[in-house]
Amino acid sequence: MDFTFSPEHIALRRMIREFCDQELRPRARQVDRTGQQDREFLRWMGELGFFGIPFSQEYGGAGAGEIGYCILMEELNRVCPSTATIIGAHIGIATMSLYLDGSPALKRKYLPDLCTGRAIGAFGLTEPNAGSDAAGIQLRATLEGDSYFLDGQKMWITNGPIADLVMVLAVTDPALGARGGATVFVVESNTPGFSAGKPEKKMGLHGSPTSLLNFDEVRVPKENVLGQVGLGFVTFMKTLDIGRVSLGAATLGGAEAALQASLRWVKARSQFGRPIANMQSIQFMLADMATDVEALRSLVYRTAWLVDSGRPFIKEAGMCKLLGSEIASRCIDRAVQIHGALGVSREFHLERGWRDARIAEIFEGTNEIQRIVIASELLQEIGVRIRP
Amino acid sequence: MNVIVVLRALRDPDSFTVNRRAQKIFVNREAYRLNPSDHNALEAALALADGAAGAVTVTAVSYGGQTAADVLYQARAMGAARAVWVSEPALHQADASVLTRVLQRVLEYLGGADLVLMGDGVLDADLAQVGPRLAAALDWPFVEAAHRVQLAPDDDNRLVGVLANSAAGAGGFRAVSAALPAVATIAADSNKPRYAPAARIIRVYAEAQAVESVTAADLGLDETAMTALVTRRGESFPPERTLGQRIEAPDELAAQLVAALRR
Repeated sequence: MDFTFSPEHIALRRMIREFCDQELRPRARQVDRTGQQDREFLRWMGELGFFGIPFSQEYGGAGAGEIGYCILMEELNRVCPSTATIIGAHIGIATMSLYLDGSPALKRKYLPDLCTGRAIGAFGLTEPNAGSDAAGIQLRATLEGDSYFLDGQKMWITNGPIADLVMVLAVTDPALGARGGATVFVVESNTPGFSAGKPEKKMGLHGSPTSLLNFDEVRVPKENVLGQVGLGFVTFMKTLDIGRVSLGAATLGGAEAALQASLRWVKARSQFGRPIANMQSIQFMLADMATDVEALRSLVYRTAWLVDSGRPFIKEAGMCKLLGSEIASRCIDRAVQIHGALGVSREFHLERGWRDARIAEIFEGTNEIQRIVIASELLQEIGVRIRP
Repeated sequence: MNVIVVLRALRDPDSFTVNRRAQKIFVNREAYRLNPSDHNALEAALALADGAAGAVTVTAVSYGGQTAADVLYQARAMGAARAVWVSEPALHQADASVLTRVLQRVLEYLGGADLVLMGDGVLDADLAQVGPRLAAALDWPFVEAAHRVQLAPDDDNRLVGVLANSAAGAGGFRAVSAALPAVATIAADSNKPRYAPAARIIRVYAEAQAVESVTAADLGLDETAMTALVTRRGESFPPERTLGQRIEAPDELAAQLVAALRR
């Protein structure tokens, strides 16, 4: 057994951390306040390889694998969850679906731009009437000649307003529905008939724009079918399975940031004549937070290793997302408690962290869905097959 | 043209605490980093290569244990074409005289150089002498604490526009030129070092000979050459400085300040 990171992953983390501390941290509050992350800044991160970190260098990626990607998400989310979410949706679900199931030609066409951040991706699954029940999608794609025409709506799409490419799941055969009748399309956002709604007003992640997407007879050439016609649901589920690992890594970053902030504070803040680090009530909270963080770190990086070494990982990936989102929420909440009134001040970063953390229990499959995923994997091991 | 940049790995200043009362340094965790002004020297060297379309080759050199190799990988990932590691852990404790001899031999090993850059000081040892010593030993010109390095466009053999902040007075810079080959030290914070692209980090570690390792014996350095002039007998801390005088009354401020400064 070997729990050490490889030298290249250590070096990668060092570079990313330096970048996050020096360049991203000073911008994080502004990104939250204005609801915008500067496109030039995103381009800079693209040049450094942040937008294609797990993908093969053949397609312009960094070739750092799932472990490298988890390192990126952990470090980004320590500092700016909004920016982490932009990149997470871009890599973890949008680009990943193309990387997993796209034809060589489609990959050659779009991956180099996606991997370098010249194009930003979004992943279109959720609809007004389909969320946890992803199979209930209604956005329709009809074949006419050598093109498909897409009609319908997607909702709550991360990166919706800023995406250049959207991977959309649409119904190609209503008789078969999601199982055999849904197909993924790569849609260029400048295609006539496509439009993104106004960014939603959310509790957190203000800098990560989320919106409705409208498809009004959007013409998509046949070549832009991602994977096989009819098997889109499989592609999307496979993509979400792997995306949960890096989402767990992001929550790890949030929890760690809360712990680190608390450690600095308990040393600096004195009450009753001594630093509050001396209070047992504080020590217990710190110990619980550190234990949570360490447990999550072990789970996340072991699961990333399962992915990189080609082993089954679906159950563990669900656990990363489930445990991670809960740990991040409770660690940040404890950190707010330790900081007292400062914890809720808008002049301090914890309040933002607290708001940003909550969505992780909901997006990319609610925690209830994660429990179903984990349970169905568990039960399958004893020969019981369940369907949601 | 060959530019050599000398790098030193040192303990991250954030990783230890100095306890005056106990007269001890407590190491809290093992963390190392590239000496800050060496980082600036590396950036200065890479900037020379940027505009030169392959005419400038940057070679990074470091000495010491594994941490020296780590900073060389970092240099390769940032863009240095070659890296040479004098893998002698004892060299981390070496004084300026030994390091000068080592660097002279490294230059011979590399087949000479046109320009040697390094930081203008190191955080963990008194090694600001290495630059001037090396220049003196080679009989090359030396420029101290340069803020920017440029190569003359009209004459390949001159290094011009070295902006040094010494003796310039009131926040200005003085342009100095030196004939190549030359040695220059680079001022800390004089530029903003680039970040290594993620793909290069991964590629460099996959390369078999990304960092070439040589030993003192390979360089033909015997025990005499490796013997320091300075010996370390122990550690002590300088006395704590007393607080300066605080001038409170605003109306008398100017007069008191003048009087205090005159004293």
